[in-house]
Amino acid sequence: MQLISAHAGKLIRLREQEATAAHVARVTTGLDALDAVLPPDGLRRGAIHELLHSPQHPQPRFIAASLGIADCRLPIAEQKTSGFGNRQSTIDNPIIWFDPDHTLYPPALAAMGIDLARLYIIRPRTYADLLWALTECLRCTAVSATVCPVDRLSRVEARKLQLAIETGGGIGLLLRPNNSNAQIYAAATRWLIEPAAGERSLQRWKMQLLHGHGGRVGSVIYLEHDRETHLLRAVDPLAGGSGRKEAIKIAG
Amino acid sequence: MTNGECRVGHSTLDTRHSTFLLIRTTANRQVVVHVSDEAARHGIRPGMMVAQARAMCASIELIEHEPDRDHVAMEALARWMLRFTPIVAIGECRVSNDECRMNGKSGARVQPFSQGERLIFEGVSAHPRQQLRVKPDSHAARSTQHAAIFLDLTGSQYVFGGYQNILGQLALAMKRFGVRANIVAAPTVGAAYALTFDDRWNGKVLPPAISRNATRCASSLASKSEDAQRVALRLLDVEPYLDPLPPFTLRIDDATAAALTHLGITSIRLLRKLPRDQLPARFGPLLLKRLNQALGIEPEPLTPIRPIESIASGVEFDFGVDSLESLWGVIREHLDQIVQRLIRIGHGARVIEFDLLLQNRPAITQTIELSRPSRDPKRLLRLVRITLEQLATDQGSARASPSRPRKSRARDLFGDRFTGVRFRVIQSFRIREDQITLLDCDDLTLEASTADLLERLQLRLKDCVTQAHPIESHLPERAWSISSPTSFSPRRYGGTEKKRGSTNLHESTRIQFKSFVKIREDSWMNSSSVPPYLRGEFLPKARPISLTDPNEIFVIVSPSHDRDGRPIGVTMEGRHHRVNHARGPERIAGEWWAGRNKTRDYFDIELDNARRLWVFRVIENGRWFSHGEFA
Repeated sequence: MQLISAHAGKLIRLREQEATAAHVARVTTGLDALDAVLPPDGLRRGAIHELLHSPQHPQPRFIAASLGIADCRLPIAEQKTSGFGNRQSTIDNPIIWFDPDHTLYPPALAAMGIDLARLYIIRPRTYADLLWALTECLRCTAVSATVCPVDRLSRVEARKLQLAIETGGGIGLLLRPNNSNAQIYAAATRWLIEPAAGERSLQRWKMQLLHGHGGRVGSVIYLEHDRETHLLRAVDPLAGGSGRKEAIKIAG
Repeated sequence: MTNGECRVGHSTLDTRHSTFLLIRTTANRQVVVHVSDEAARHGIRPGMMVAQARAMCASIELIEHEPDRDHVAMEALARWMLRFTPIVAIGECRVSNDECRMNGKSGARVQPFSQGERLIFEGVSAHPRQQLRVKPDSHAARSTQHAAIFLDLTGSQYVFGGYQNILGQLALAMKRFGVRANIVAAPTVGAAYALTFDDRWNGKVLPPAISRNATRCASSLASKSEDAQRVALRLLDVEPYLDPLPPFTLRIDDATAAALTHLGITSIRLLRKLPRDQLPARFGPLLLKRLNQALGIEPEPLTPIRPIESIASGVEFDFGVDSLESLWGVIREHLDQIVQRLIRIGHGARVIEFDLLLQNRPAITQTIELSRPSRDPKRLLRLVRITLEQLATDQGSARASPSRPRKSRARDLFGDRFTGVRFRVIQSFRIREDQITLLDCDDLTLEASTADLLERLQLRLKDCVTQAHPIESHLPERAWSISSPTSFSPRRYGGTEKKRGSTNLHESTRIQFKSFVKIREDSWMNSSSVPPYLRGEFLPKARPISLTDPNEIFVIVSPSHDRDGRPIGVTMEGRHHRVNHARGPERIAGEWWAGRNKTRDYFDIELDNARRLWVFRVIENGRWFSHGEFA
């Protein structure tokens, strides 16, 4: 069997072995409904993933944090076997968060189970500094996740970021407003994230996969965070919203 | 040749007024190495057993003799004196006759034995003059083994305005350092040393009428024939000053001094009257040699301490260079030179200062701080590159040129041609071999590559790189603080500290907390009736991931008779929103002990456009504020 995929304007042919290997090494997020939508290799490491939000909405920082720490959170939760299990050392690896507008609240991240000793917050003064530092962080092999709000990117800059993250092997999460600047990208997956109507102690986000080779592009997933139990749950509205077993606990 | 000399005593104690002994312990034997003046008055002498000394004076204080540390302190003092002259030597005047015979004419050798070791050594060896040994409390047996620092002041008097000024400065400094020292300037090393035993000459220049001509004569004749030199030194005429002194002041060994005293030769005058050609046969070659050196008949070269040379490299061109390629070439070349010198001394650079000389502008100086000492040329080059790029962007923004600068010319980057580069290693540390092998291969460990990344980021972004620390406070905006990550601790390179301080602290607190909870669980709180927060399984309260400064908003609350209803509508940024869900209140009292006496009721509300805000009401005045968003 052969899989055919498109990459950078070229059709590439994947052998079955490679596809299976990729499947074995797939990186799960711990949420089945989310994994079902993702490309075969899951939320791939060594790649950029973009989280788009509409300009009038805030940056989806909670989603970014949950995806960024997916690797270190999993062993604590259900001891789920995942691709991250091979890299035990990432538990201690630093997470870098770019916060140019000084509004990030680290205790919230600590409550999500991120050890603040491994969280570095960078507050660059100019956009040029931000892009330079972002490239450096993505290129560093020690960094497990980099979260950065980015607005406009030239094609060269986007490609640079992609090459950097391929060298570094971490996970790069870019938070971008969904405006005309967002047309230029070099990301493995792209999500459109909007807040959705929740309940009293349940916050919901609507996640739509916009781009991702081999993924179910266009499908919508609801992500729910329960304030009382601190469970994070992904619900596929088409699948009829099953779900307790898909939930993972996010509080450390 | 003119020499000053200092005798340095024990500096940490008041040696005049306390009774203490420096001792050396070897296999249950405690031997007195050095005694204070007060102890000497009780009749305690070096070489005694401690028990014997205790019998003489019960209230003695014992201090273990540490010759290595003494030597380090001595060298530090000598280095300090390099400000007066480039030739500073630490006098080691413990040369026995045997060694002198072995070395022939090569002069005093620096002996590796420390004082105490020599004393022990003497006890077991068959000394040739042992039979002449006299009673230990005789005048001659007083220890002549004093540490000395010799300075060759030839020529320095012109800089400092005379010898007397130098001696005055030295005396003042020694007093400030708390070091007891006798300081004498004399034409020969031996005379200077001998005269320090005479308190009348302390702080004086000998001979008092020493003329510049004599000094210049002596130094200028140094290269001429030996006869001429001898004649010239004769002119210095130090005999009258040396004659009344006892012979042990000539830096001879104890046995010879004892023998001389035994024979009734109590002064250098009497020693000089003995037939010179028989002295080596009777007392060994050292005595005559020392006598000749003191009188200036035989030259005595000093072995100066080697100054710590700074590691620097650089080049200056005669003309401005505009090509960036050559700039990188030059930088690479000089970094390589620095690395070579670091390899030679086994160090890694920690702070490097880098100058870029420009043609018509002041030089640009940048300090590069490394997160850990390194001598990896690749890493150093990368850091220099980041510094220069940062400079270029700063300059570019300062000039505010509309067009993007071409990156191939120095003029576009720095606004001028460059005429040279200079590197200086400001601080360096000894690095271990495994660190070097670590640097050589690409596979850096986690900590090292994190430190590398932080060092690069900090080099360009300065204090924009931060780390958060939790603080115990109920007020959300005060529950954390931000600080620069400290990645370098010099103690680590002393080999004591293993991990970074901040990480360690958090680690230990966390572990303590866990164990605390565990103990309580095990002991008496293992029943399910205990509420979860007491079992240690507390759930963190919901906190927004974006926290802003409180913005005042207008909130419509549900009808309530005591003004504490729940929010049902919010007007913010000129638009009205219905509140779909409101979760709360969570009451947080102010830190009244810090002057914050307002109490807040926090609500987690969901608006009709599905945004979730964290708002609070100040219950004292009923005003509402938006504080953050669950983004």
